[in-house]
Parts: sequence; C-alpha cells; structure tokens
Amino acid sequence: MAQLELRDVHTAYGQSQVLFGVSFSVEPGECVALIGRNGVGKTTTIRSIAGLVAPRRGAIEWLGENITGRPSHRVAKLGIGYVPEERRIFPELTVWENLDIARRETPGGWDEERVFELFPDLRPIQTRLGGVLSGGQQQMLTIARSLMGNPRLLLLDEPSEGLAPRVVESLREQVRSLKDEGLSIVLAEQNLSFVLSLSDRCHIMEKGEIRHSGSTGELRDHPEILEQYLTV
Amino acid sequence: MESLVRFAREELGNPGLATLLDQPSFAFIQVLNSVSQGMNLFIIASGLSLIFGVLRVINFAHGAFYMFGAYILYSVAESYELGFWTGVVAAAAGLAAMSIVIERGLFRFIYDKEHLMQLLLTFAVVLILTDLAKMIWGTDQYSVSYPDGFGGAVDLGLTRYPTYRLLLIVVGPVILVGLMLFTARTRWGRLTRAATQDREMLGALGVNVPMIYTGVFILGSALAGIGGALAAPFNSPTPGMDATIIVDCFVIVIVGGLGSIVGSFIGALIYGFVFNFGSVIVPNWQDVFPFLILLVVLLWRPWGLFGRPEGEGA
Repeated sequence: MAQLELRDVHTAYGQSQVLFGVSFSVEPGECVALIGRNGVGKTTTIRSIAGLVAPRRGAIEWLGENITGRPSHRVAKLGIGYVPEERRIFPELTVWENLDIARRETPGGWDEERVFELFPDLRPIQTRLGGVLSGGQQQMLTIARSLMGNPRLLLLDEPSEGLAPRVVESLREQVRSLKDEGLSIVLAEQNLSFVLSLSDRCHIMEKGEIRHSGSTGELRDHPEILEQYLTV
Repeated sequence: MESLVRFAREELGNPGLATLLDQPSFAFIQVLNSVSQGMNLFIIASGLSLIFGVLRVINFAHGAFYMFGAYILYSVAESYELGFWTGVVAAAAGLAAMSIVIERGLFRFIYDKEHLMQLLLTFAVVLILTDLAKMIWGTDQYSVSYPDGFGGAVDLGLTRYPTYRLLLIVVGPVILVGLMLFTARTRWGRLTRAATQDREMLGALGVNVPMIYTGVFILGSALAGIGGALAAPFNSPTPGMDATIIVDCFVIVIVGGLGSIVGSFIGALIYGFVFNFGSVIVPNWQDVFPFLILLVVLLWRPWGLFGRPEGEGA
C-alpha cells in the first residue's frame, strides 16, 4: 500500500478550477517530484494534500485512511509536514519561537538540537526575529520548523526559488540527508538539476493535469521529454 | 505660584484650576483618581484589545460582559454573602463560561466576514445580553460594599486616599505584567502571537487555531468580568452601565492602538487623566475630552499610539 495516494483530485478556488484529476502515489521513503511551469497546479496539489484547500472531487489517502477535506492541523498531526513556497516564517517571532510553536514531541524525534545539527546556520541566530532573516535562512527555518512536528512526509514547495546557487547546493544536501533518514518527500520544483538529483519519480504537470510520469532516470536519459513540456 | 493662582481665579475665572495650582493635596488626589479610574478601564479594555488583536473581531458585547461581571459579583457577594473575592472569581468564571458558548455558537462563523457583519452580530449579542440581565436582575440599582479591609482610607502623607482605589492602582499594572509575560514567555502566548501573524500557516503546522481563538476569547471576556466585578463597589450594577463602558473602552483601545496591550494601558491612563483633570478645569465638559483625544490621535496616528498601520507586519 502506498503511503500517500491521490486519486482523481479536482481542486478549485471559487469559480476557477485549477486541478483536473490529479492522481499519483508516494511510497514510504520515496521522493516524488512535481515539475512544470508556473501556474500548472503544483502548489495547488500540495495545498490540497496539506488540507489548506479542499478538493471538489477525488480522494487523498494517507496510510490507507481517507483524509480528503480534513482541516490542515489534523492532516499535520497525522505526519504530513507542509513547507510553503513563500516560506511564511512568523516575522515577529524569533527563530527559536518559530521552531517551538511547531513542536510535537515524539520519542527519538526532532528537537532543536537535531534541527541545528542539520542546519548549523540557524543555531547562532536563534534569538533573531523571523522577519529579518535572509532568504536562505528563511528556507532552512521553514523546513526546520516542519521537522519539529516530526512528519513522515514533507511537502516541499519550490524550496530552491530565489536562493543563491551556493545556498541551493547546501539545501540539496540537507534535503538528501532527510531522504536518507527515510522521510518521504513530495517536491514541487522548477530547478531541474535540483529535481533530478533528489527525486525517484517525476510527474510533469500541465494545465492542472499530470501529462507525463516516469522515473527520474528515464528523464535524465531522455531530456527531450522535459523539453517537450517545459519549454515555452 | 501665587500670582498664577490669582491669575487662574481672577483673570480666567477658573476656580478649579486655581485650586489645582494652590493645593498640592487636591492635585495629588486628582492624579490618584486618574490612575485608579484608568486602571479599572485598562482591565476591561485590555480584554477587548486582546480579542481584536487575535480574532480581528470588534466585540461590541464586551461592555455587556463587563455589566454581567458586576451583576455576578453583586449576586455572589451580596445576595449569597459568599464574600467579595469569591464574587470576583465567580465573575471571571461566569464570563469565561458565557464566552465559550458565544464564541463556539456565534462568533466562530463570522471570522471571515466583513467588519460590518461582525458588528451587527456582536450588537445582536448586546441586545440579547442586556435583556437577559434585566430578566435576571431587574432594573434596580444595587449597592455593593467594599471588600473587608478595603473600606477605609490610607494616609499617604499629603492626603488620605481610599484603600480600595489604591488596590486598583496596584491590580492594573499586575494584570499588564501578567499579560505581557503570558504573550512573551509562555507557549500559549507564542501560539497566540503566531495566530495573529499567519493563521493558516499555524494550522498547517498542526496547531488547532480555532482552539486558540476560543482560549483568547475566554481570557479577554474574563478580563471584562473581572473589570466589572472590581468596579461594582463604586459603579453600582445597573442597566445601561454596559453602554457607557464600551464607549470608553473603544476610545482607549483606538488611542492605544487596537491589539496592543501596552497601548491599552497607556490609553487608559490618558483617558483617566484627561477625564479627571478635565472635570476639574472645565466642569461639565469632561465627557467631551476623551473624544477630543480620540480625534487628535485619529488625525495624527490613525492606527493609534502603539498600533501599526494596516497591512504592515501583523
């Protein structure tokens, strides 16, 4: 049984429908990538899983349990961590406070110590306000914050966006080490080298649908597939 | 100084101002009156501000909550003779219980609605609660005696001053510090601040935000209840007491900045001073002064002394 399964998910914001029947699954420990241009529905797919927008049709199952339309705080408690594209650090909370509010203790799980081992740059700025952090620091903090809730699956929305190449490099290593620990990941990303080096399977989205699914190896060997969907 | 006093009395024809300048003890009493009235108002207004800061709802019914606090104190302390302090606790508990029902049953459904809808709903709650109060307590004016040990006056050197009012001067800052420690140092406080900044994100991190809203509403309403209970000995519980207090509280929280606890504290002090000194210097016009401050603050800093412009930060 897949850990996460989406079946024919249709999602709309008011009158404007964004997703037209998205289906895919994530196995435990797997990194599944959603790629595609801006506005194809990657973020909406992630927000649908996180419980931030309820699908109109279709089902989302987590460990065999139907979680479609559940409020986001209950989805999070089941072990799905959401890392938003805009990072959404609480600007008037310190770095430590940003971590503390997401804390959900589990024996042997994540705490400040382990988070700072993974993101050493955060340790010296614990008392700094979230609003004054650099883009890279914010990105680390938003992932670290989700980890404090001890998720089993991480929803990463455009983590490399707007970051300097060197920062993207270290982020890649950090995400890889999370994956090596057995965390499942859904990665929505436009940075192809980032995607190809981290994911196991890729789904290429276009106009709210998945147009192509395949292993990352296949895409690496056949760059023309990517070209077909991603060039403007 | 003597020439100033004479100037005030003879040239300005203002005996109030002359007495203020002439008699330090009289001026001192006015200062104490200002602070004690300000502190009582702060206790109530802080609850209103706290609720707005987190829930973004302007609760018109806050004044009615205050009135219920005063009535509950009367019933517990005077009718059932269970003691004044039991009455204060009962007022806080009673308002907490009432606020759970009101928040879960009504307010919960209007957080996403426009302010006008919210005002209409909270105004409806005012009408229901004031009628409910009349059904329970009638339309009489009740007198409440001071708690044991606080009925007298203390010699402060310059003058003697009622012990009970001094107590209010102490309780106000205690509540201020308590609320500040709560928001700054406790996990609930951190969650509350996070909820004001990005409610959706907080929920996605696994925090039950509606629960936090209920908690904040209980706390804010209990403060109104405590404020009403503490006011009962000098503001006899009576119908209509809710209408005056809500206007005072609005002036205070708008002057201080909606959502700012420190702002409410400063706003309440300003209100106290302007009201008390105003009534000495220009008798019969004291009710106008608070609105004058409101006007000045709104023109100069529409978001209040300690608030921040809409759309900036939280």
